[in-house]
This record gives sequence, structure tokens and C-alpha cells, in this order.
Amino acid sequence: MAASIPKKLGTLASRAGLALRKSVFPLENGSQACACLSVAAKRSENNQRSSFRTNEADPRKHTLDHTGLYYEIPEDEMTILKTGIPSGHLRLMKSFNESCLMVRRPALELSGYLKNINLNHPAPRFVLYGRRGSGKTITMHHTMQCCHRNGWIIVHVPWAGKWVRGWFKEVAASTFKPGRYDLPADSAEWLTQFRAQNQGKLQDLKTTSEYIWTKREKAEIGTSFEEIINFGLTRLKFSSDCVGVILKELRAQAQAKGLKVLVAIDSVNAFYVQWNKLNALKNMEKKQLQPGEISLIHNFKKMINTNWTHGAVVCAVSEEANDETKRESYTPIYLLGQEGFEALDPFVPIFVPEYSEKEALSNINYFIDRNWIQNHYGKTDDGKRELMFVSNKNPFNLARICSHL
Amino acid sequence: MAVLSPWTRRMFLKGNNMPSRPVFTFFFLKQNTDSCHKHACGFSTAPEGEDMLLNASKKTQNKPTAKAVTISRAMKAYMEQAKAYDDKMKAEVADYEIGKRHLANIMGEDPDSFTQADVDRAIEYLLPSSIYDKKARPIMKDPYEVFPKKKAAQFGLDGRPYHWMYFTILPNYYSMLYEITWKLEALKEAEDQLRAERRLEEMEGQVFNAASSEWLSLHALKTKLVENIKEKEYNHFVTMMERLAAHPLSGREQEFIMSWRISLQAEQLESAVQELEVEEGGRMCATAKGTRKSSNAIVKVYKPGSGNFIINGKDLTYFTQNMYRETLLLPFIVSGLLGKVDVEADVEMGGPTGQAGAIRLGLSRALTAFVDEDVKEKMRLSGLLTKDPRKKERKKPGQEGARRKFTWKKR
Repeated sequence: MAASIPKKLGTLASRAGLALRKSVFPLENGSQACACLSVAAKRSENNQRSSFRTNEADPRKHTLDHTGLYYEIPEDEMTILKTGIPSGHLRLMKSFNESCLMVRRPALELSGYLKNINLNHPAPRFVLYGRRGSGKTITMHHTMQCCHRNGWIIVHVPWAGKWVRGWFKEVAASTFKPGRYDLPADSAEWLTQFRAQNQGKLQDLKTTSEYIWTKREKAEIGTSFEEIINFGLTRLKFSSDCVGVILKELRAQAQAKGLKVLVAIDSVNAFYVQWNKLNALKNMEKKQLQPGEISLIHNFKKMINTNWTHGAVVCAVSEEANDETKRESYTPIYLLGQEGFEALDPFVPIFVPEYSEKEALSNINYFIDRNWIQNHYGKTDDGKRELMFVSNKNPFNLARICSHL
Repeated sequence: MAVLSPWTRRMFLKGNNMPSRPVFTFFFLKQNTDSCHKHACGFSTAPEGEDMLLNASKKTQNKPTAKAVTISRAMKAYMEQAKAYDDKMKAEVADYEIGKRHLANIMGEDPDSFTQADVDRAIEYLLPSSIYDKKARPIMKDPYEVFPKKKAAQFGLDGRPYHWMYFTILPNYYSMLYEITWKLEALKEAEDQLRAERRLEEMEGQVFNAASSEWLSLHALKTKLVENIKEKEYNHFVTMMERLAAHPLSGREQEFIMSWRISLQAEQLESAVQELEVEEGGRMCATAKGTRKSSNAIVKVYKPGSGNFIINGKDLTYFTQNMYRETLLLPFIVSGLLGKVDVEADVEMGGPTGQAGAIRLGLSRALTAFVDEDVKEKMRLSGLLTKDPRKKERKKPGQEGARRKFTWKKR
């Protein structure tokens, strides 16, 4: 990507008959690519009071007045949040040399709920739904950042669809229970991500029961979470079991230790709806696996249950996680199916709409500010209106159209 | 017909002495090797031709002549043919009239006031045909429209042609060229005179204005002159005419030039837009239909509006690809009404391309109700108001599709 951005800028510049003077800009980050991009970054310093940006970088303090405005996420928090952000969005952030998200109403609504819930009640469940590319994932990340700042432990599944797809994936029979199947690589990946997202929050947590891996290896009572994760990462065979242990301990200790646990699962419908035959996971006998037979999913389904307290579950349902024949509607009841809906019911549905006119304008203005839209017509009111019409104010569509302007 | 020649020659020799006659005879012979009536033709049709024939015989009778009136064998043959044709046409007309009355009775209408339009309607109702080519469908028309017209005789009873250019084979065509030349010569003379008298300023603005008209096509010229003109002769006609029209005083011959030109009328806008309806609250609504490929759309445009677009009860996500939304964008850009009107479209049949095109046509037609003439003309020039006539081409037997052939396999 780093190579492609200067290429894009170069082609645009040559199209406009301008020579791109790379050497003029200071090499702050030491790479040639960032040298070009620092132009955009520098401009923003003079433009602090722009109509599409807010200086309120703390997501906890965002109110409805901030809707449609961009706020910047500090780099250290980005390392925690960037898992699960769509790659295209990440590329844009890299191109713009800053990580900005838009404050939107559903995120504020969700943060408001989480602020006011009674943690002693069974874990409430929220389901984000909306059209493709309307910003469900980004809404979830906005909420996650709020919770991170409030000291919540984040149990995040970036994209559950990954666990039911079987492209050259290693499937092993479970060591814990026959008839269930492990995904060692995915489990290890999740463990790494979990450790990274909850740095500094896991020291005090110790296991409350004994776990026997093999005849010789076992985890005594009082083993720290760090050790369990390390064990899962070194012995991949048990990584799925380690995930199960961590989730179980979190549920058990949340009340006793006064923890706050945020379970954020993107495209949760993959847990309940059968993926298509062609690419589905298969076991050693080439038999197609149901989502429930996979130990990772089995364990995460328990997190969605209401039999524990001091936590909240935020899910998103997405059409992409379903097979192509099952994408007719974007509502939770359609996407989750009978089984999924019954498992999640009751939940608070939160609709993530497409951009309003104000939000769309703000997005386009941000792109213009970042020099992402360089076409002169794109900067005029007529051009902006056309962009909104063609993209239908869908955030993903808008970004895609603007990518070649 | 070649049998005629000795007789003709004899007749010529009997008349006044003209040295060049044998040459004419040669032409006559050559011409008669083709079918007689084909070239010996005139402007008028058969029924009038009879009158002409009578007139011709009267003319010859009026002439004081010493010898007895002899009818040439060519004329005799022609008269026989003309009589046969007339008899046939009379029978056909009688058949047609009876048929029309029968048809009227079948349809339960008044036979006396049964017109050709009623006949067409009745035929379409009684003999429904789904043949693609309309010419191949059953018809019942006036015999004079169905059978080719017979030309009147171009020569008198004594075998002498009326037209002095008869032996050029294309008398009307060549006399027209003569006329052009004489008019051009006259104009040149007038120009010379003006130049000699140093009245050059009078010449200004007298050039023929060629805008909004064009020369008759080859086919139209053929019909006008009733002569079988070829491409070469047509090109000659155009060259001569342009020479005349380019003359600085050609405006004086405006009427003559325009008689050989066809004026181009501005393309009529299809009156698909209905009257503007005014709803409660002063909101105006225009409805129009659009078609493309096999899709049909009915589009309602409301003004003032906020840019809402509803297609079959959904918003623009009805079209999943940006391309189709861009199709719908163009009428708004040209008319400058983006974001100022609300649109409701109902579309059926076909795929997304056809549906988007159908909505675009309907939308453009409806938007014309809200814009002034200039913008309407701009929209027409952008091609927004023109229907795309292309359809799916039919599959051919022995082929895989419309054009594609089956994969060739040796054995």
C-alpha cells in the first residue's frame, strides 16, 4: 500500500500537469511514502476549526452535537482498535496519516445504553443491523473505544464469518470433547489479539479451577491469564481450549471481581447460519461441519447467553457472513434465522442508517481536506450533490466512488 | 417491337423532310427492345392517362392535315395494354367495394360509412398476425395502392412523341437539367450587369439560404420525375443544383430551388408528458412513461422536493451497481434539478440496464414539464428525450444465438 499511494498521487499530479516534488517535504517518518502524505497532515494544523472535525478526542464526551464530525484516535489506541476495521478503511487512514472516525448517532446511542446499564443484571444484548457498508463495524469500534477508556475488558471477534469458512484451514478434532472440532490457528490468532487489546487489565486475573490438558500438563488453580494465553500460543493443539478457559473464567469472575466485560462480535449470524457447501469447513472424513460443532463458536455462544452478569454483548449482523442465497434482507430476524434469533432474543436492535445529508457532506469535505478528492468539480456544490446521489449516501459506496476522483 | 421499325421509317419518310430522322429511329429501336411502357412514361397515372390519350387524339385531329389519320402500331399496342389494365383495375375496384361492404357487415357497422381506417382495424381484428414485418401481415387496400401504376402514353396516335427530349430516355430529368442551366446562365448575366453598373451592394444577401432543408433523396427524385434515375445521374443533379445555389444571386430562384429540396422540420417532441397536476399544498406532479429494451417505467416527478428517489417502493439501492445510478443522474445534471424534485418510479420487466434506461427516459420526459424551452432543447440534444430503439436480436436457427455460430468440430 505504501508504494501505491505515491503512485496514485503521482498519476493525479501528472494528470493535472504538475510535477510532484517529493524531496521538498521533510521525511518525518523516514519513508518516502509518508513524506508525500505529510502535506495533507500539515494542512490540518491550520484548519483546526473546520466544519467537519471536532477537537473532542474523548469518545466518552461525545454528544449529539458532535454527530457528523470527525474525531482523531491516538496512535496507541489504534493498535488496540484496528483489528476488525475493514482493510480499505485502514488504508485510507494510512493515506491520510491520521486515524479519524466519524461520530454517528447509533454509536452515541449504544454508548449511552452502556453508560446507564445496571451491571448486576444479566448481560444485556445489543444487535447492530443495517445495509452493507453503512458503518456497523465502525460503530462497534467507536463503542469499543469508549469501553476501553472506561476500563472494560474487551472480548472482540473481528469477523465471525472467518471461523466457518474453510479455505485450506487446519481442522483438528477437539481434545476436550469428541464430536467437536478445533481451529488451532484461528484460536491462537484470537488469543494474541485478546492479549493485545487488554494489555494491563489481565494481571490480577487468575484461574479459579484446575484444568488438565494432558496426563502430564495441567493448569493449577491460580494460574494467571497470561500463562494460559502463553500456553495456548506455544501448544497450538490446546489453543481452542485455552480460549474456552479464558471465556469461562471471565464469566465466572466478572461478578466476584467487579469486572466489566464487553463482548463485541461482528457478523454474529455466522454462528447460526450454515455457510455454503463449497467452502464450508470439513472434518477429516470430508463431512461438512455445522457452526455449533466448532469449539471456538461453541464457547463464544456461551458468552451471548444471559446467565452471567457484569458484562454487555454488542453484536452486529451482516449480510456478508451469510451465504449468497440468504442475503435478501438486512434485518436481524432474517439474517440470524430461527435458531439465532431465539438464542439472542431479547435484544436491543440498533439500526445503523446510511449517512444523513449533513454526515455525507462532512465526509466529502473531509476527503477534500485530505486531498483525497482532487477533481475541481468534486469540490463544487454540484459535484458534492452528484456524489451523494450516486453513492446513495452509503458510507462504503461514497468512499469507493471518491477513491478515483 | 422491332417489327415496327420499317413501318416507322416509312411513316417518317412520308412526313416532312427532316434529315436527322434516321438517327431518331435508331434511338427508338433501341428503346423498344426494353419493355415498351417502362420508359415511355409520364407524370400521370392510368385513369388520367386515358384523358391524355383523348386529348392527344383531339390534338392530332385538330391539326389541319391532308392525309388520313393513321394509328401507329406502337400506339395500338399501348392502347390494348391500357384497356386490359383498366378492365383489370375496374374488376379489382368492384371486388374491393364488395369486400368492404362484406367486412362492414361482419363487423356490424354501416357499410356506407365504412372507411379505409375501419377496414384496417377490422382486418387486424379478424386476422390477427404476429408476423414481425408489418408488410407481411394481411391487408385489404384500395387496388390503386396495391397494383403498380401504369404510365400514360408519351406519343400521339401517329407515333410522334410529345416531349422534345423523348429520345434521351429520361426526358423529365434532362429537361430539369436544362432548366437549371438556363436559370444559372440568367443569374450570371444579371450578375454581370450589376457588376458593370457597379451596383455590387445590391447583390449582398441574395444568396440562397440552405439551412433547414436538404436536396431530395434519390428515391424522392425518382418518384417526383417518374423516371428510373441512377446514382450517377442523381449525383449530377446535386452538382448542378449546388452550383446554382452557390451563385451570389441564387436567392432570386428561391422558389425553384426549394421545389427540389425538402425542408427539415424540427424533431417533434413526443407529447408523452401529461398536464402538470397540482396537488394540495401547491405541489406539482408530472407523469411520464419510458421504455428501454423490454422494460417499461412510469415515472412521477414532484416539485418542490428534497431529492428523494423511490423505485418500486425501494430507494436507490434498488440498483446495486453505481453504473445504473449514474444513468439516472444525467437527466438531473442537464436539467439542473438535482435535489430539487422527488421522484417515484414504477418499473417492470427486463434487467437492470433496461430498467435504468426506461426510468431515465421517463424521468427526462417528466422533467421537461418543469424546465423552460432552452433547457428542453438542451435535453433533446443530449439524447435524453430520444428513445433507444434497440431490442434484443432474435436467435437464428442453426446458430447458437443471434450471431454466434455453434463451435465448429471437424467430426
